[in-house]
Amino acid sequence: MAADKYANRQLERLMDVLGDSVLDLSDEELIAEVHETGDDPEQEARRTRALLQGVCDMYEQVTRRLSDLGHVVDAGAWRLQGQACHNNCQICGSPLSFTVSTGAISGGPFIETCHKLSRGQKREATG
Amino acid sequence: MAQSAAPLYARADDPSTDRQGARSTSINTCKMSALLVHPDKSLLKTFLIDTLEDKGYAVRTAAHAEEGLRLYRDCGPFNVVLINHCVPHRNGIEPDYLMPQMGGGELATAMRRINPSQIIVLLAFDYANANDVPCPAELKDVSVLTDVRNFRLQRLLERIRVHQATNALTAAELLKLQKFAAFKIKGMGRAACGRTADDLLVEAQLRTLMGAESSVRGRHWNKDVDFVRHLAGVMRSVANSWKRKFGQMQVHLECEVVTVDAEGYLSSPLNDVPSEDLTADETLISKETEQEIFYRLRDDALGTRVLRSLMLGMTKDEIIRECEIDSKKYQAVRKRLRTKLLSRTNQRGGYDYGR
Repeated sequence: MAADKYANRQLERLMDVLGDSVLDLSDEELIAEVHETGDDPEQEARRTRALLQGVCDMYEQVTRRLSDLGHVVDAGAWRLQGQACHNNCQICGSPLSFTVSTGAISGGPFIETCHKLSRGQKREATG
Repeated sequence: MAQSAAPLYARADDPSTDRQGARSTSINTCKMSALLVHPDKSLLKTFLIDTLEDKGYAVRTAAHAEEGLRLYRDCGPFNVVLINHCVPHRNGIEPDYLMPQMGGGELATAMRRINPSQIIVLLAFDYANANDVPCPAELKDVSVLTDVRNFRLQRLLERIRVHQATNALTAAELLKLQKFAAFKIKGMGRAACGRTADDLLVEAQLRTLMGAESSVRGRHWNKDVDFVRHLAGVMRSVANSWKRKFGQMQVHLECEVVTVDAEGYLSSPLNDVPSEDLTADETLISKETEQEIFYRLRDDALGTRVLRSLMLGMTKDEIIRECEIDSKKYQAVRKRLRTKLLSRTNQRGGYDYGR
């Protein structure tokens, strides 16, 4: 087991060195290398840009939707479980979640206003 | 007081608008600029200007929509434009609060006609919810701020900064991030648990956005750090966190899981775990990965030597001495290693690491 762990550590070390070395490459060197690996640099760059912008768009969409409906979430309270991000509205306490890879959003705060959800919960509490 | 019915903004088919629209939309990320269109000289306006300046923006201000549009035509595009929803159309015209206030909305629409990618924030402090603010359909993607409590404006500006930095990434920078993520995932081996380089990039970007609002869960982007270096650092940290979690899944404290049954006997679920060792198939995967790497370099004696040295944790200088090569040759070998290890071709077992 120790030998396997040592082998894993060696592999990790190697990949760390190679990964860090990528950051120091010039633009021309990098694009030439990507060509050599058989990938199309333009297409790969476009795909990565779309991926990063998709995350921004999704996060903005979630933030705006919650704000539009009067919900307030503590940005420091997001919990990442697998690929889904979970949180609760600070006012009404309703749970909500979103998944970047699928674009799925779920939870009452995306549908109802905070005021309405708070009222519903109070009614439930008083029976 | 009635507002002028004369068309205030140029129409989309106005030739002068076309000329303006052809202006470059590129954003100068070195010196950030902001335009604030706010009617009164209140404490709130001072606060808005101070906040923008604190965030590194050079701020231009306008007191009414006409002046705002003129400034925009002369000095735009800006990194961000903040418009008070209730801004009067012209100087000397007080807004009639009994009428629907659309000065800000119309101004924002006119700016969007000039530059469709202009980032605009509508300030609507008279409304409780952003949903209640009347907005033309073309401004549906515009951020609406209904109050500035709890650092909302600061957080919004931080998020905008991340968006702009993402949009400003060059093709080479995007490829750097992609390759960095691929090597990170490849180095994680089993601890990646099936996650890909894209998953690592997504989480790093998500944590950066969260860090724009809070440093508790996210990773705050220090403006003095290059955005690519920042994302690489976040990827390192996320990969370490995944590895830690993977390690926690593997290691258990017996006292945490031991239970006492009704008859008082201690029972531990760890008794049912056959062995602490890696399973046979897991060990095989590790060995196969290593073999696969050496197989790819089978025709490259120097490459194999450097590879072994790197895996042993030797530094660049040590490898140069050990292999009796110069720095240029070392760089060339490292390049060969990178291209061979991430190559789509030349694969024996059909591995497609980190994709």
